[in-house]
Amino acid sequence: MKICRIDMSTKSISFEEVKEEYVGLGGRGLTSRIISDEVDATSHPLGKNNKLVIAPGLFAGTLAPSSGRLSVGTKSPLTGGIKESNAGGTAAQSLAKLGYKAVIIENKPKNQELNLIKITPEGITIEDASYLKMKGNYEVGNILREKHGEKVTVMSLGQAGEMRLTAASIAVTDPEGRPTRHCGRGGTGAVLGSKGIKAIVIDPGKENKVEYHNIDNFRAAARNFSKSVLAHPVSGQGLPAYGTAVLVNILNEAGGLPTDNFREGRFEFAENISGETMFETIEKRKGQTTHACHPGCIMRCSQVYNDKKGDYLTGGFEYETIWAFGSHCHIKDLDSIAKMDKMCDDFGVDTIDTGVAVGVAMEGGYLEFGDDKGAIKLLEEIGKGSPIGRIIGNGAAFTGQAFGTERVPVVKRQALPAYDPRSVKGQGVTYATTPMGADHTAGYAVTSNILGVGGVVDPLKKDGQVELSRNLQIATAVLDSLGFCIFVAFPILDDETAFPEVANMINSKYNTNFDINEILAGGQEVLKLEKAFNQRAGITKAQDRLPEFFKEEAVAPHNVTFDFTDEELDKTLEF
Amino acid sequence: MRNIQIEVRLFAYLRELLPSESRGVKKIEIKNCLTIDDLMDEVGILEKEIMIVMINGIRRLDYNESLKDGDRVAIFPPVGGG
Repeated sequence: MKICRIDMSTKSISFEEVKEEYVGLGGRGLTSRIISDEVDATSHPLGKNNKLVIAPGLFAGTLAPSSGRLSVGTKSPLTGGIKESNAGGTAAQSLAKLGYKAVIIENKPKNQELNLIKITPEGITIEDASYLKMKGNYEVGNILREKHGEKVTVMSLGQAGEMRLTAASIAVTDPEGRPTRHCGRGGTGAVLGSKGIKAIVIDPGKENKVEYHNIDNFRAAARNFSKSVLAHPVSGQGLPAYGTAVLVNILNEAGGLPTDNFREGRFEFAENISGETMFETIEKRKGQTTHACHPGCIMRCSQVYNDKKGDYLTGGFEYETIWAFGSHCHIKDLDSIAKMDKMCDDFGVDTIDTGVAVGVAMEGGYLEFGDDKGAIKLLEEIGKGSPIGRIIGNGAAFTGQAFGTERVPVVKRQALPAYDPRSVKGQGVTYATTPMGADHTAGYAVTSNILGVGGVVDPLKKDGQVELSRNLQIATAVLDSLGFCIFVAFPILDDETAFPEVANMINSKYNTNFDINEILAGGQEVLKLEKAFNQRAGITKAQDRLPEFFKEEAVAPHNVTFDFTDEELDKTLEF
Repeated sequence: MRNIQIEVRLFAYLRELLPSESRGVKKIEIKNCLTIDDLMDEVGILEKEIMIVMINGIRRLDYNESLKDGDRVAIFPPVGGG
């Protein structure tokens, strides 16, 4: 394995052996460590002193199921703190097969430029990409595949990344070459744009350079782990059949589906935008109800959503996106929401921050709640790069400022996702305390709060929530380092044989002898590093808080507030 | 004994237990003393232990609880996401 460093001021490329202390790190563990070691926390996120680190997880390219997630780490232009943004798609596996542990992009060109990085078995080259200027991700992918081969993975920026907007994502192509998977959160696309890079093309070639200390033991452990994933009712049946959108109805019933910019916990038109409706619509239009975002994923929770004519409209159409443009904005037309998902994928913006921003623009009176046509028109402005498009493309916090409203659901300037923190309290603790800014995946307490996975913790009460969020945040840091999809947490939480098999896989690949506690301690270390970076960047406990209205306004139907004291929240990551 | 009216809401594949035009939602009249467990029998739900049951938006684990007039009873098979 090697680490590659690309200096964008001199266009020089160098390769280094992996340092001893980085050998056991991958994915988020490695990106956060390199950012922490090499980036001054007070640097401007778009300046030459910030870096962008791309790292596959420790299991990328192996026989481990659902282990193709990619980590991109940087200092976030959105939160001002450390960021790891995680995506599916084929990039992580392609990089691992080529023997890359990480690619570090540093410095920046003197003038504004657009470049293409090409990574192949022959090495790495930097080429001019000015012909891709202000093109969307779909077109960029088509052009680059025509030029570099149908099988390549493309990581790219749409217009938003070129404009360095703080909700800009980095798109990663799925196995069909569609830019439906994104490092969405935290504006990583703006950082890549600031380095003068429009796209990265990865051609893994034929050889797989992934090595195992003991492949037979690894294979046996991977097989057992796969059995646990498939035997669990959620990861084995629920996710493949309905995808994540099935959560619309369950959160609506539980009173945790944020509606009209977090005014209500239920949406009167939830059924119109539900997973069940989506499933029927996809079947009727002959799309795909089940789809793997990367080869080797056995949960296959993604899908292909066709338009009324039966032509491809969008894919990777997730619950959080449906919520952000749906109930959050009081929009009830699933086709309109699908169109907005496609636009976000094409312009390269985070669907959560952008959807929440549209709702905040509604709050500020720019358009009416429920106006789907107005929302689509507003999104088109991002692609045009107009002033209003730039406002929305900078995310919810910026949009709130632009429209002078205080009702802006963000933590550390990052938009809250699709679970009301008052009625799914464990999730609220995670939003407040994760070093990432409001992020549902950082410690997905919906498991025990709503889904009955990993025990039961009453979502409306405070009891047990801080501990739940802490444990999940630690476990997630581990999964993000291994390159696992977060959904393998479902079997890990319920099947006590699953996590020991993860330890067996680590030990048989890397010739180590870790037990479960040592692995979890590694997760804790990642969080400590991230917290310390944020402190150096000036993010204090005062930012580990939700906006006041969550404490002051009760949300129907359960009429609950977010009632944690500051001291209680501060205990979450106190280790 | 007088009857009570409740609203049953079935989700995901459980909807196949009701006519498709109902979209999983049905108001039914039942005897006053019926429990969650009885209701699941009546609707035809077999694998009760893996279901998520909410009454008026609050998860219930004890299926021996009696239902009350006007209850909104939501039943989900194991689902998840994020």
